[in-house]
Amino acid sequence: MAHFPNLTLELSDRTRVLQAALQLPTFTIEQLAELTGVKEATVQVTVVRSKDLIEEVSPAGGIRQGMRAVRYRLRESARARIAREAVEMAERLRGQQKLSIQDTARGATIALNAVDSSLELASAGGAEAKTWERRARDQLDLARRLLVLVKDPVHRTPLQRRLVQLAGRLEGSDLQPEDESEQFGPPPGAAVEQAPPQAPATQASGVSKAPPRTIWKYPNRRLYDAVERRYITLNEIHQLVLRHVDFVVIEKKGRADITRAILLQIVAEREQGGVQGTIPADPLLSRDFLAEIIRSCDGVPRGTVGCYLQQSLDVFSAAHKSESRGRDGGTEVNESGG
Amino acid sequence: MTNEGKAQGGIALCAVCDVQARMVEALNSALSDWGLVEEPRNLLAPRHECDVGKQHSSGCPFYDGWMEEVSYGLLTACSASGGGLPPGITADFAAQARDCVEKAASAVRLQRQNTGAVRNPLAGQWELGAEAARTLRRFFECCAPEEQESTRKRAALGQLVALSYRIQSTPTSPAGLRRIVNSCLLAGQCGVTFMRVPERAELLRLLTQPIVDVAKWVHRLEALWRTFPI
Repeated sequence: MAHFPNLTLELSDRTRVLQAALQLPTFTIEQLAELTGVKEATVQVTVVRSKDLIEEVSPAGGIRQGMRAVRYRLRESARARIAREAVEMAERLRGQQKLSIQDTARGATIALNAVDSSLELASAGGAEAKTWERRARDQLDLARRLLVLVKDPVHRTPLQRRLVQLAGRLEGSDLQPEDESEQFGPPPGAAVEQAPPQAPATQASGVSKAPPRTIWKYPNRRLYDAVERRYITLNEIHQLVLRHVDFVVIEKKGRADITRAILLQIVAEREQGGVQGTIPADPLLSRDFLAEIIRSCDGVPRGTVGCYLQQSLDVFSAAHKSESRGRDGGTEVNESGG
Repeated sequence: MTNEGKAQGGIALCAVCDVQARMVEALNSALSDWGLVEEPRNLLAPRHECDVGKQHSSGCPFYDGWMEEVSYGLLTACSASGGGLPPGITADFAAQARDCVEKAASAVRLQRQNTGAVRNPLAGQWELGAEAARTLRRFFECCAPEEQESTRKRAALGQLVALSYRIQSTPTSPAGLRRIVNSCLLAGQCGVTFMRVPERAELLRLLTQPIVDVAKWVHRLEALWRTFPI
């Protein structure tokens, strides 16, 4: 590959080239030049000098290099850095651009219109009524979150009123929200990993539901409760689960949602007696049961097993609730309501 | 909407579909110049009225709103002369098709926004998808380092088109697409409203990287906006 040591690059050209590279899975020198309007020689110099950011991809399908231009791609580790450079550069050039109040309110209005439409279509009945109702719940949750961004009370108050009104209409209907387990379906004829369960914050919910409590997990493995503003233990998270408190656990460093991992840890520790402090004489998950789950995961698509277990647990919970309601004379306590 | 009204709307849309089909055909040959090499080059903006025989997921905000906004963006980029022209679309072609394209673009939007006397309930769903696409386009514009506005807008449109193709090529059900649209709208609004540089950079990275596993991708997108108190 040609090398041009005497050429000096302007920062803006380099930024342009790297930004264009960011938006492409793979690219050639010619494509970057076309996309950015930068000369091919300049692009080539950028690519050559950015070996720590860009790597060469061998031509796919056994095509020889002579028949096809060399393709490159950004290293995965470089993407975050380049994205950050781009945002910083854009802010330096133009200052941080923010949405106007009207723009933000418009987003919330559109979400409320969508709720209205979904309710209208749900009330028409038919086979898709439940789907439209589920959709209305999702969109109501979306509208509620967008409304938080509308700070100005002049715009906020009428939207808030309308949101409450629509929530009332939604809660007035007798359909119950259903779990959408197959959101990211597998491609035809292929078994793919089941989508992670929908996070508590995005589950269908009414307007009265508060945003989920955020718990941060720090690199030193300590858990910080942002609501109570103190470190908490796994045992206290266990108590939150028992009290039906809606929460998410976010890793502080990578900002990844690790709620599932924490819940699994609670189950594992409970089975070992770590959370409660006593080793259970009769464990919930027996050795045979666990072995059977592992075997089932290998033979059948994982989504099927998970769905089956979820349904079984739902049936058990419903039976347990009705039994305790009968015992307590019809009273039932649910702390959070969500 | 009455049957007669539906039929008239269908005929109007069929007429503009012809124009759009020509544009898509022209764009398909030009898409490699936009760097869209590995994404499937097929604009899926189904129009129910023109293709009654096929099964469509009714009111899906991604196909009915988002992708139509993308199509509209491409159509108007083609119809505009000067710097907004996508590569591969020659000025002659744009000049010849300009009137048709402008009519097509405005007719489609009028039909979808349904400014007539009778309100179409599906218009609300359509508008949600379109708003998500517009918000993301605005976010891309905010993050584009180009100095000139026309270049910045063109780069933002390119990124939006690329993202749309990537989402479209993932094995996603209508419910999953709705979740993606909702998440993108929230993340885009947060991005242009009050995210700081690290979060905006992370969002930009997520929206511009190849989607290997759509479930994980959405999960990370949600984790990003969920860290804000909304």
